[in-house]
Amino acid sequence: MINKRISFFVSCLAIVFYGLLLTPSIFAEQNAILGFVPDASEFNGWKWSSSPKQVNGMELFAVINGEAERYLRHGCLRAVFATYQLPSGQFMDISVFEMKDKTSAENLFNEKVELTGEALPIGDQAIFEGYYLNFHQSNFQVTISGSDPSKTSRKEVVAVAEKIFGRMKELIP
Amino acid sequence: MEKKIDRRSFLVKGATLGAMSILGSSVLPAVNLSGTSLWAAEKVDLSVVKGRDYYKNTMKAVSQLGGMKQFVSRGSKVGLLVNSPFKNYGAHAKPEIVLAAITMCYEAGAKEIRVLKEEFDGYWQRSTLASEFGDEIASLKPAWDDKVSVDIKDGISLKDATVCRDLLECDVLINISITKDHMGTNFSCILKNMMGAAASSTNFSFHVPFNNVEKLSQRIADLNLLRKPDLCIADATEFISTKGPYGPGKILSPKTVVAGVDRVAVDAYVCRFLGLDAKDIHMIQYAHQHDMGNYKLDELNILETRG
Repeated sequence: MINKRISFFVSCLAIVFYGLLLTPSIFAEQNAILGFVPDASEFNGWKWSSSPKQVNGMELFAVINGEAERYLRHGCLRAVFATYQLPSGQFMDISVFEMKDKTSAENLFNEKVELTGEALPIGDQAIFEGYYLNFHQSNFQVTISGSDPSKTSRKEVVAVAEKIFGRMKELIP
Repeated sequence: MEKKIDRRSFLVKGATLGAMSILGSSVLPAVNLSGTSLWAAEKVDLSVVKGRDYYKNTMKAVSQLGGMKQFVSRGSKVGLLVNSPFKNYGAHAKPEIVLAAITMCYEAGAKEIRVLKEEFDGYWQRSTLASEFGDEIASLKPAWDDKVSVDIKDGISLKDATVCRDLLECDVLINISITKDHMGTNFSCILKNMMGAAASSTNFSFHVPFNNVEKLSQRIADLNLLRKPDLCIADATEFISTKGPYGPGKILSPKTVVAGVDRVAVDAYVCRFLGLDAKDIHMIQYAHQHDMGNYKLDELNILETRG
């Protein structure tokens, strides 16, 4: 019983320390990730349903609840979430995760894709799967997802991914 | 600014949609799992409606249980716990289903509806019904910030929790959740959705240590000891069957809404859409061991109809 309690508290402490390590003040250019998401005005007729919001380290739990565990385990430092509303009434959800290194981004990517998807030449690796696209570039992992699989346009999803990748090439040293 | 509800519009909408729902059920045969006819007088444990119109399916699913008045009395305060924090398609309960429940609650005479979990930004707009139901949406009272700490006397792994005050104090609790894949428990629906009413600090402890399915499942079952939902509605219309709970992932589309009082039974029914058996899901088994309900579908009266 005591061992179980010790194990529990050690696990908690490890997570808290890990969260502290990921505290944004430690990192320079902490807001750079926001710059990767293109403004809605860059797409004809699109508008923000939810403008880009950045969360850091443990704040992920407040946004994606228990799913945050997966991202933190992989070494997520911070993330940006945004949603476009398209003229068709559809929505496009964007998630950009800044990971501790390139390997972490690749590992997260591999966990998020199916083997049956369509490989595309975006970033280090990209896969499109019916209504969503994942790619990773450097230490970033990006997901773009349509709000209705039956009405999502591959062209629009790919266009957003290419724009984000373009921004990354400009902004990542 | 708070918008006033137009009661007349509720009644007109509700009467119209209720009539459509009843008409639909009268012209289609009702069958149980074994395909035999059911008499309307029989007590229905699980009401299952399949069809493309999720709003109407929900109305019909509840009417087949005897109608919302079975659960909501005039002047009551309803607590609505909806699985709505994740944006990705198939990772949140469809707004149409929630709107149908809200409409029925007001028709039944609910005084107010308190929402126990904050929905993601733009949630309601994901439905084409959002503009039509603007008054209803505006009438909802946010209740997720008011939390209280409570002991869980019979909890096996979870002995206390911090949860929404209204989870405990509302007159009627309605739990609406999407059926989906979940990396932690393999499956998520009504039982798992109870975590939506708990504080982040409580939920965080559920996930420590990581990857312990048994512990997470036991704590979810323990948390469910705090309050039995009066009505459970499972969204098994379109949901992620991989990469859950957040998604995006592969979508399955059974286009089915399931309503029932027994949360264990509802979960046991819908987990089959993911190719799972309730006997193999720790969370369902632990809840059953807490006497929360019956996972043996062959012992239940299940009414399956088309919307």
